[in-house]
Amino acid sequence: MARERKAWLRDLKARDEGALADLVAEYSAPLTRYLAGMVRHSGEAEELAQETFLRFCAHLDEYRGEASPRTYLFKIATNLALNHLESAASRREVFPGELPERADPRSSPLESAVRSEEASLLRGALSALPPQQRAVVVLRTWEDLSFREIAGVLGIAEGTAKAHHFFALRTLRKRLEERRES
Amino acid sequence: MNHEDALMYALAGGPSPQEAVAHLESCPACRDELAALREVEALLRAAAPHARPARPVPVRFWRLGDGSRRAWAAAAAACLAVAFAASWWGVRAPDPQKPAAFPAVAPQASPSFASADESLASVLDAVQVGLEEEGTTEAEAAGDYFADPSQGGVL
Repeated sequence: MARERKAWLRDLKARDEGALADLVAEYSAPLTRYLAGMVRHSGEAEELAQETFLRFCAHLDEYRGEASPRTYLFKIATNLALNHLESAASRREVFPGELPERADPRSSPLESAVRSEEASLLRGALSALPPQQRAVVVLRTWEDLSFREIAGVLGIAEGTAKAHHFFALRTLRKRLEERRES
Repeated sequence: MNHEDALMYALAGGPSPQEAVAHLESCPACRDELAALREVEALLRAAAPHARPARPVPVRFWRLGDGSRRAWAAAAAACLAVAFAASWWGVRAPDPQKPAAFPAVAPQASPSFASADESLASVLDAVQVGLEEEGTTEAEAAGDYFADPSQGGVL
């Protein structure tokens, strides 16, 4: 965030629209990507990301700036995602290709095809992980949060976050190897 | 230190306990597994989806007082839940026009959230009273929710 956090928070609480714009500009895409990893549906992820900002604004008076806005926003997003996953709505089928991929212009068509297949497989395997493991892996690998931040977001110990990360990657590796062998 | 603890520390990055470092130096199997897990991590990083930014926070909502914002957010959350449930039902519900003998097939299109937008618009209208209580005039609020900066809106 361009301005210092204290000044930004003061402006935000004074309902400064520029402060809100800074917040949305900085965290909108990361939140949507994280939520897409959690609920595995880009449309629902966008809806939940907007809901995250609405909740943040609605509870702004409770936010004292002790945790970073990133941690606070991801915490809200995590709660929304977990609630969503528990709801009946999330139990419907997931259609392939719902998460648009990042294109790598350096890859050959064959490499792109293999990478695309492995990416699809990994995202499928990701969605089969227990939600807390999934959250740790997505926050770590896609959003580059530290384990301390992840622990703050999920309300768990830092060591637990590291253990989730390790066991999740081990499961994903197993899925990938099974696919390569077959 | 056992294999799993040594791998967990190594994979997490940052300073590892001396026992973990010593274990990895003396255990080829752990070194192989660590390399494989790092490869999976790299593949997963590359598999991150392209994320479109979320829609902006409605300016009308931002101008409400804290109490009104909470009420609005609760109403919006309820609308969102209804929209998700409706879209889910739309995907699941059988088409009454189709003969029952045909097996169900995957729908041709992803669920639409247009109904959620309509619901949110209704909620916005419903909190107009709140806007007036906050001292925001109709002229200030008119037409600027979900406004775009390129069109002169704030967000």
